[in-house]
Amino acid sequence: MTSLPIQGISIRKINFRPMVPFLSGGLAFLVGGIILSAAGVDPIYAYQIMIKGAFGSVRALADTLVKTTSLLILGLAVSVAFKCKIWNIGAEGQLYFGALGGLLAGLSFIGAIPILAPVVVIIAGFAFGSLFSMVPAVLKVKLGVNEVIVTVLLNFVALLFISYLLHGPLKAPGFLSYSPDIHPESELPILLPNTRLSIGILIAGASAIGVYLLMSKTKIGFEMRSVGANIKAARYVGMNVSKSILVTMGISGGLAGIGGAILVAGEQHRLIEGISPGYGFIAVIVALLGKQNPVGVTIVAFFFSALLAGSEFMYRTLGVPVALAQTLQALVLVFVLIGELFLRWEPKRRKI
Amino acid sequence: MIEEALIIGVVASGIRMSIPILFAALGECIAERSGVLNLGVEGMMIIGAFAGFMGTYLTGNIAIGLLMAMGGAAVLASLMAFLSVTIRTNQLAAGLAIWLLGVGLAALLYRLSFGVVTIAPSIQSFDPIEIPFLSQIPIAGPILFNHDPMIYLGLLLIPVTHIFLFRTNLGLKIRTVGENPKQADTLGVNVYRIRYLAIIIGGAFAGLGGAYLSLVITGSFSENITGGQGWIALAVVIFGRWRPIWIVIGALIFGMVNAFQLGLQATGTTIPFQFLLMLPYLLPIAILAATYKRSVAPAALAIPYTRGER
Repeated sequence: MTSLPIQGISIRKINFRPMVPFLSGGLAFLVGGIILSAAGVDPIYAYQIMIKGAFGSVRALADTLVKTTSLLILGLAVSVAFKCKIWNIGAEGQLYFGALGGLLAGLSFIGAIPILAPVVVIIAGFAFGSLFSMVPAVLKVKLGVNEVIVTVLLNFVALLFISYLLHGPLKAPGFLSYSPDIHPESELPILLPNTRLSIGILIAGASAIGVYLLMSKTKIGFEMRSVGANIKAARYVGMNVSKSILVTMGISGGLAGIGGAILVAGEQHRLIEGISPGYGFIAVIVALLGKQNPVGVTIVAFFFSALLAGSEFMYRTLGVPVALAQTLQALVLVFVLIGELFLRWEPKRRKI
Repeated sequence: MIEEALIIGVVASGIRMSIPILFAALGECIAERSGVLNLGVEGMMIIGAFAGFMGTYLTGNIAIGLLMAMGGAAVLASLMAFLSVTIRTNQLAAGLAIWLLGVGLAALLYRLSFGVVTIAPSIQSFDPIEIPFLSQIPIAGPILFNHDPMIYLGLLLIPVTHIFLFRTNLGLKIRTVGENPKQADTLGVNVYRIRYLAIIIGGAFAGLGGAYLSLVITGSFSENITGGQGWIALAVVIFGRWRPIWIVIGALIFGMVNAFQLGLQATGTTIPFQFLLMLPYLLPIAILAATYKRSVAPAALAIPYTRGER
């Protein structure tokens, strides 16, 4: 590898890779700031408010961590699938099914058994999310249908189904379309008094470690990665590709389902429409930015949660729409993708 | 007589509902024929819906609104082109980024422009154009010849897109680039330029589709106005085997089912409305499951092209 010396410094010696996410984040905030000032909002002040809303107090930090719980586990769910080149964009729908599973467990007689109840709630969330993800998985394995469009469309189906349940069979008495509250024994214990921060964050952290161990230390994880890296080679060496795809989707949907169950058992203590502000979609960006690596996903999930918590605070104080967070997140992804060009770029060799 | 009027109403509104999908799917067909899978259709549609609404709201001129819809979506499409053609990033990742950026940006700009409003601002839409004599034909008249001008534009675009792709020099270049970019390059076709062009035309089409939602169907904008129709358009392209004539059939099936379920809701059926609303989403899945194996995509679809690479 040749290098062009510029004033004695070789450009190749500067490693641009770690700088890309920060530069991209900075650029995204710059674009966001331009949009804000065009709308007559002082961007510096707005961003100050945002930081205050994300880290400014114990409550704010707890709010950020509550959101990290959801984004981390959903980001892991999407990552597991992406790592195996299965484009599961249906995490939002799988989350809602998991929330339904958690709710049903929390309402049942098992939900009243202390200590055991939260465990059952989480397992039910995994099972329901996993089950719902079998629809696109089976279509892919049996009929070869590409999963991207199917998983996206199933999000709408899931949301409508939950809406039906909350207006009909699962509606609590009263005017609003909520489900009844789960048994108090099913609620996840709160970590920080007077906040909504529950042990859900520990479950999410444990999931990150679990995903790492599964993907890098187990046979099934190796097979899943192999199918993702080169499906033909995996088939050639005799791996059961279909099984691998089903397992991948099952774990991916299951993790999303746990995310839903945590929202029910740890945050709301019942199921409501819009219990997730699109965590399953943000998780797509989290997984892409985190490079499907548990550590990367954790870091991105934390910063994106801060962005979300800060935006909500900014909306309450300044009236700046929460969609700003969504736009900034998408912009970061766009800039990181553009950044790939500069990472690949090498100084041209001189002709000999 | 009442039943006849009802059926005519459902079929006519079915045609109307198929138009956004038709525009978006025809556009995506052109892009995919050049070998670029643009998953950002939904994002481009919603930007089209917003820009079209904003343009019409500010100027009172629906034609300017349409131009802004095409322009806004084309700008987003050129970002997709930059990512997928110049940077050669994974097209799925790029498309997802475009989708989420479009959805976020449209919501943000709408909220920044209008704030939180209880009554959504609205615009005056097209008046239907009754085609003389033809609209008087029983049954077929009200179904086919009593619509707004954009429907006629949509219907016109079907043969135009077909001729463009299969009968013109540029169309041939687009298809060659999508099947065998290396060969096209050897023959002196600028693969990058052709792909840029196809993606941007596709974006402008998607913008028109989105604008039809906000300008004609609802007369106002909302953050979930597209409701997955961009994704349904992607399914329609696969169902239509990348051929405009078949894409029309796919779009019409979707429109009819949607009009049917809305009509059924209006009659006060006992079926919960959520199950009826699921139909437009379940149908494309069923169609994909039934037809996916037989469809043959352009050979170079979703594969970035690098000049001089083996």
